[in-house]
Amino acid sequence: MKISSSLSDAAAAAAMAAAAAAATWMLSSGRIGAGATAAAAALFALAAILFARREGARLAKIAAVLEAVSAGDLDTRAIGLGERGPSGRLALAANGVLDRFEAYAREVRGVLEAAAQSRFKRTIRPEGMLGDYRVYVDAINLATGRMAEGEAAVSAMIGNIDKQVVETIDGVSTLTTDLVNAAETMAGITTSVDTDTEAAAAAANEAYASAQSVAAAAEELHASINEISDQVARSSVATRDAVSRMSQTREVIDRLGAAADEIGQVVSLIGDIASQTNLLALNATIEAARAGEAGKGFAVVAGEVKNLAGQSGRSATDIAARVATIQTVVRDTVAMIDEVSAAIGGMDQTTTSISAAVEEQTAATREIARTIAVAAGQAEAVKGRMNSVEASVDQADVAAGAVTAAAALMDETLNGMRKQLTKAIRTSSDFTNRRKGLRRAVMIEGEVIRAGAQIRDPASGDRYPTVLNDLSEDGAMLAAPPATSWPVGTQLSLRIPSERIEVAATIVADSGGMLHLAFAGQPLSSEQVDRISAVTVPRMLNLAKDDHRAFVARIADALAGKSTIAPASLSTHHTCRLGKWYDNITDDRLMGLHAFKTLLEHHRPVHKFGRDVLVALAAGKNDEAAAAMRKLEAASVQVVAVLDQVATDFAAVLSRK
Amino acid sequence: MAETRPLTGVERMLGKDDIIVSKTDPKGWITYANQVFLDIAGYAENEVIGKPHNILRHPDMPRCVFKLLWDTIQAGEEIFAYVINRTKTGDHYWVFAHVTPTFDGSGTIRGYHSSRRAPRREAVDAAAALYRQLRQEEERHDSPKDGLAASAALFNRQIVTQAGTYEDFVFSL
Repeated sequence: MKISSSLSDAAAAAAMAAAAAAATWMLSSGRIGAGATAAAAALFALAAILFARREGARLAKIAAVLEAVSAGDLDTRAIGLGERGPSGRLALAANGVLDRFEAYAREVRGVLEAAAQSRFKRTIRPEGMLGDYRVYVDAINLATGRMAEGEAAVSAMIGNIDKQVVETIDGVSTLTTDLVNAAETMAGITTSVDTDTEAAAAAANEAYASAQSVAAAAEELHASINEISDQVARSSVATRDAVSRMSQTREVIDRLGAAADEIGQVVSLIGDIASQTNLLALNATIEAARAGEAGKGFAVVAGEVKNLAGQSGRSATDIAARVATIQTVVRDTVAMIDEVSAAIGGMDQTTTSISAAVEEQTAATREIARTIAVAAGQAEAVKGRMNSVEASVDQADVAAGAVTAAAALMDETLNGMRKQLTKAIRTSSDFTNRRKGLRRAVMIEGEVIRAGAQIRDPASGDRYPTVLNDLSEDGAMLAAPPATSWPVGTQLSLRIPSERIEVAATIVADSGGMLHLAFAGQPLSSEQVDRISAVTVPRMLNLAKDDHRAFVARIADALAGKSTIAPASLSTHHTCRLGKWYDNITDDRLMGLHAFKTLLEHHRPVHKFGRDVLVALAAGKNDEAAAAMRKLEAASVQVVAVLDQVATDFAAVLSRK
Repeated sequence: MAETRPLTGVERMLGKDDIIVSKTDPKGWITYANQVFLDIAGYAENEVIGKPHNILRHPDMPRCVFKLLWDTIQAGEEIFAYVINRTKTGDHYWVFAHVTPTFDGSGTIRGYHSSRRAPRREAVDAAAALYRQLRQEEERHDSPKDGLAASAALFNRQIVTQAGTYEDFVFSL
């Protein structure tokens, strides 16, 4: 501060003022005698001269102050000039003007600087701002209030866009991930479907063959049943024939019986006649005996007749006995014939039911044959379809591969779009750029501590390790610690122990697992941020090289049969350490490098070929796996070369600065 | 300090439109005090020029608040604070202080400027209550260093829970 006076000047001024005051008092009091008039006049003159000189000097000091103020120095004040007398009053007034104006000016600077940093709660307090100042203060407060509203609106809008972009991309990403998973599953399924299809075709073939042999057997069965049926029919006819012949036999036997009866009657008649003849012969003998000799001859004849009659009688009796025997035989025969007839009748019935059963069986056999023929036809159709399924499976395999590639490409495009969009929005103007400092790519471990730990009280806050992806003087982007879900606005303390950094920060955005922090209070020095970036970017690139060599070694182990890795468990070119880092880089110095731009296209094949090896192994296609392994090795060499190139080019960019 | 008259407990009030202005060198020695300053504090100009600014210091002021004030302005930032000062006679008065660094052409701090205005009563009441708490915390510890650390921690906790940042806190009062 420029002081226009000094304390000794102040004392002299006070003395002058006292002398002048004394002279004035003496003159006005009228107590001075006439003799003293000359002396008094001289003293007065002296005092007046002194007063005029000192007043002149004081005025010159005030003038110097005002001249300095005119030249733009508001820090100047007139001091040591008291508050009395014209010059004292003038000094006081000049200081008063300056005090009020400088206080106002410093308020204005403070509020505008705060507004430039988006701290809009900093307003100018109206207390002490009077008159015109109050008008200016109100205007400024109104303006910063509007700025706050504008920024809040833009912020909200950007937040919305951010959120929507992230959500959309996350949504699509989920879809593409699902798609990739589905395609992978499909590719896996097609391999097994292929085998299954072949097996099914073989089974269908067998089914067809056995159906055909069954059909043949059924055909034979049908034929033999027909044979049986015919024989049964024939035996039925024979039986009926036998029955009719039996009936005829019966009639003959019946007639025989009747004839025997008639013979019996004739024989009895003969017996009667023989008895009569015997009686007559006896009578004749008696008569002959009376007639004597004349009658002697006659007596001989009568005796002969009597003998004949006796013989006839005996014959008749004999015949009657024989006829009786015949009749017995006839009766027995008839009974037997009846029995046989009944048996043949029963047989006829049985034959009829056999016939019916055979008829049914024939139908059943025919049905079996027909069904089997249908089954055989279907088996043949299945065989045909299996062939076309096989072809479709091959096509599906190709399609699944194409889908995987397309989805992966889409995912990349979207990720790139998100980065570009965020960059476009955030860096399109200083107003929307929450960070004034350049975002430098870094890769450094740190830890975040919830608000309470801001006050260095570990008990009241929770600490989480994290990795920083970029850093600027006034902000950072870092991986959200797992198992935390801190909303935007959360107050944190960020520590980077290796750099002895500890800053208070607020979460201003969350983009897909990356937290964006704005530092509160003192920003980091540009030198420190530059140094961290210069040191850690090469470190990251080296880590990435090591990671990919290890990746190739793991796949080689799997190929050699030393380990088994599921294709799905393999990292992708987005989920590996390099991928995560790469996807979140917004450092223009890196993004501008040609080598960095080509990193993606060289990085992608490493993970793709790695997967190809595992997929081929899983399908038992060892030749394909070996071929993919050769490609993987070549791609890995390429990506390591590109990482080296990025490191060299980045170092060149840094040294040029 | 030459005068350490006992505190009277009498509060003086700064005029509604008054602005106290003082300036110091980088070490806090007074290089300018305006008439409003001299009138309310009861000093003559020559009694304060060249004296340390803490001649106005009132024992009710917590040390952690001054520490924050000095840390802030030494870092080149402005700060607002509610401050209770003592007068030469042992009376006291509350101000709403705005302290800013003054830079030379090369950006180095060549002094500080403080303008003080009349605070609103409710802000004074809130500040007084908080300062009482902080003072108690400072006095609770045997070593002044521990006391300062403890009250600073308490101060930060209050700020964080009430408003987030100190600036928001001051403007919320």
